[in-house]
Amino acid sequence: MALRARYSKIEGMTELLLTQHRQVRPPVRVENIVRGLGLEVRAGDLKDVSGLLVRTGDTAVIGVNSTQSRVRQRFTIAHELGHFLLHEGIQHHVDHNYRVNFRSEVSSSATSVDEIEANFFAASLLMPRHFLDAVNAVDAMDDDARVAELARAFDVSRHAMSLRLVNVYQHHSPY
Amino acid sequence: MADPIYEKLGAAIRSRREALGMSQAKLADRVGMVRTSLTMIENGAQGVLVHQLLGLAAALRVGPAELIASAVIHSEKDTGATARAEAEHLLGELNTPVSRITR
Repeated sequence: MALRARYSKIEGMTELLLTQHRQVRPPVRVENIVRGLGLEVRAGDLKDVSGLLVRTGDTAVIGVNSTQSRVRQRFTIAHELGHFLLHEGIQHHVDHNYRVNFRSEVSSSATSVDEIEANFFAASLLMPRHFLDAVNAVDAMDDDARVAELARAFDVSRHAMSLRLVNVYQHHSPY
Repeated sequence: MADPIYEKLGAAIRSRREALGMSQAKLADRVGMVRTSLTMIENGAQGVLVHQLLGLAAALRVGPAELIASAVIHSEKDTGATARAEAEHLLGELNTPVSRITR
């Protein structure tokens, strides 16, 4: 189990998935990628659970909470796909309202690293670096209206978009 | 110290300290603790009192809740059997196939 999140490896994986599934512009059709990999997605009222992953042999079922917002469900599906591809040892995984920004350096336990990796995977898949570069997203960092516009284009929450922009372009930040 | 929570908490403290490039001796000194106590805490072999936790969090420039969170999250999810039972129950709630979710 990884002790540090494998950021470069994950970004390589998401780039390959986007190419293989011919995703060339936002919004990324995460459901097509998941289906292309042979996984099944089902929705239901999961109460305080955002999503889950249940493996069966080589494939898996991803469960998503239908009571949460659509953009959140998209992120959850991508997050669970991340667990499926990155964390082979886990047969059954249940995510209770995980935090999208769960990537603190303090989160050192193996489980926390898994969550950081799954979140980074989801963000990289739904908001690929080169898609952001292509629309000069770096200029949106300090502009709420542009963040909202990008969030709509990428079909993600504004919160997820803000975090991704900081993550990708933080060396540009004046703070 | 039997409770595995202290192992997770200790690991979180160690990881943060190392991320900051701080030695055990320096951190121990900052919080007014002997280095061997900090070693014990990081190894999960010694419990942490509230004032020590607050001191360590301040010296490591993180919120105490963040240090605790990694321990709590881990203990909740540690048991494969629990996750399996919960997942199997939740599978029963998943009654709608999703074929399209992107706008």
